[in-house]
Amino acid sequence: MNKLSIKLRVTLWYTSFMVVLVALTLVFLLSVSNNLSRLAVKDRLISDVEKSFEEIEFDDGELEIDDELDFFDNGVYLSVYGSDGQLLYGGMPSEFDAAIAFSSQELQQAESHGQQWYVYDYRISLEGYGDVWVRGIASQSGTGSTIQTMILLALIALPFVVVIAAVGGYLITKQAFRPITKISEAAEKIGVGNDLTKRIHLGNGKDEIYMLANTFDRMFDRLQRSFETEKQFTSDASHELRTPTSVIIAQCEYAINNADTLEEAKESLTVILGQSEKMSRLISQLLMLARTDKGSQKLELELINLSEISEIIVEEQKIIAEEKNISIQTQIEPDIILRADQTMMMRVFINLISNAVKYGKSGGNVLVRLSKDGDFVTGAVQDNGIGIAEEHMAKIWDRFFQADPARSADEEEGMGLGLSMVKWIIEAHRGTIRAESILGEGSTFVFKIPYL
Amino acid sequence: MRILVVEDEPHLNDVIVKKMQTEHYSVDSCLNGRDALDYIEGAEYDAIILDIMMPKVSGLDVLKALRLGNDKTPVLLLTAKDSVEDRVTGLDAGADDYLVKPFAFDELLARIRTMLRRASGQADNCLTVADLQMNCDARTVFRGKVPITLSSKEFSILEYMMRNQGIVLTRDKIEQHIWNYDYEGGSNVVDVYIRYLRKKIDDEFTPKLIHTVRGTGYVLRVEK
Repeated sequence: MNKLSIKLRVTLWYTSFMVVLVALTLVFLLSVSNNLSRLAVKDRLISDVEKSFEEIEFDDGELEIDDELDFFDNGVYLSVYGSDGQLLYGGMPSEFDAAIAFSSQELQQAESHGQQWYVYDYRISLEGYGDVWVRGIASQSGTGSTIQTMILLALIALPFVVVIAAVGGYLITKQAFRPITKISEAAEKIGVGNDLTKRIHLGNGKDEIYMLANTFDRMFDRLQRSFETEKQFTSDASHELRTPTSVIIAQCEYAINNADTLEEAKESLTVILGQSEKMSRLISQLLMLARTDKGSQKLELELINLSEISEIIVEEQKIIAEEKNISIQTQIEPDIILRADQTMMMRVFINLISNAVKYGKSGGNVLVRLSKDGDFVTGAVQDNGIGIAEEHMAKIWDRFFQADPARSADEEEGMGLGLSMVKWIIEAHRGTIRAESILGEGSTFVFKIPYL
Repeated sequence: MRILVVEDEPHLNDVIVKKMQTEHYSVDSCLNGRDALDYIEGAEYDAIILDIMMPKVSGLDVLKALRLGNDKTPVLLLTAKDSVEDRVTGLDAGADDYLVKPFAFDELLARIRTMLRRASGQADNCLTVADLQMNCDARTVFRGKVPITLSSKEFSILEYMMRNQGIVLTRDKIEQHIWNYDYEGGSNVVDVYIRYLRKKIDDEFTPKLIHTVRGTGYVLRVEK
């Protein structure tokens, strides 16, 4: 059974169901109509026989039978006999030749010429004449022709209904399953051929199958996107790791072959240490990003004073900013206390402010704002630095994105992971972040998180 | 305080980790002895909760390897084996404490506190440096008579520094003891925390307790 297709199974199921139903209907119809017709025949036979006395009289030494007496009426044959069993009037059906003894007011059954008959007799005593027998004979099946026609019609029509339903149902299921075949073909191609660009493209429709196909298409879109980012990410990550590795190898080779003094060797070791630290940081950040992707990075929420934290970070960042001759101003509303992950929020401010300083111009300004408006805490970091080109705006949140890779190659934290981490943290706090920038004039990053 | 939980039954492992986290420990966990050795090699723990019967490498072997390498990290053996013989074997192999399953969480936590206290040579669960007092059970901090409110991470960092008072702690070392493997803090986050702690416990008080050691790290002590 399981080897058959669903189309066939569905069709088979309800066809057999209908066959059983039709068979039952016919059997029921037959038995009921038989009983009914038999009852009707019996009633008519008895009433015809009993009514016939009114028409028989003995007058002036002669037996008179009224003209109204019908000797053959609707399948009932009537005949009148004398007391000695001699036929006086009427007749018997030609197919009936059984000899049956008279028995008054008793319904008898007889078989003749392969047919079942009812026989009903009645004895009348006529004054001056003696006994007269009236006998009625009727076929058990030969009557009630309308019922028989109905059964005949049902016998012919019902199988036709079954056939039409089966064929129609098969066609509709086949039609309904055609998209499924298309879906499985598309999935097969993606699975075997590794071609993620394939789609089902069933078009617009309202039924469940179309919805399924569209859901599949959207899933394939997502899969393709995530595979592509994954590929990009892996290649970027290996590229970022390759750079420090090659520096380390080169420095080691140089130190082994060319360093004559401990001083020179130490110089190489310092470079190697720096590069190793850079790699270690990168690996840790990659790990954290991988965890955020899996959703296993959890927030440690507690009440924190975001105003104090941002002030502290500004003080910390001022040390670096002063080296670049950049000043940091603040407009921080005091004592904004909210439930958040303290370390994560520190990261947000550290990354945004250090970016502002990194891409700032000498003598420039950075403005850090924090305020509470309504149900949200709004934070902003604004600089008048080099800005971001319009074509890069959409990509700044991507991992490893750097507008000018050469520019930050020698900088410590410049690995293009900072902003994507900031975005993740803000969104994990159910907030939003956006950036505005004009190339050459500066950038502003504004985030909003719900105040609880 | 950073703790490693080694237990091969995933559900028990999970619930111990959760319980420890609500007590503000930073926790790493693994399900077998071999992973445990990797974790121990990769980070510094303040205490280890170790199951004995585990696949690959047993808890006793982990413990022996640890002590052979002269690692003095306090270890609590957590096990279903409860015969006197088993306990003696475990303690002789270098365990600091032994707790038989099933156990009460309160007892496990109390034993962990005791081990940590013993490791830092205190008599009770209070730490004191000059007039800075910390109660590790109630998680309260006082400078003189002034109560000081600290976040959980600030508390952990201060606790770690007070337990190691007089010892210069590098940013890396602080990071290792406060955050588990699940988080990459970055050394500048430690700087921000220390700056914040200073503001809270030193700015308005004398003597100053947290000091920067240039190029190395931080130390908590009373400068003469």
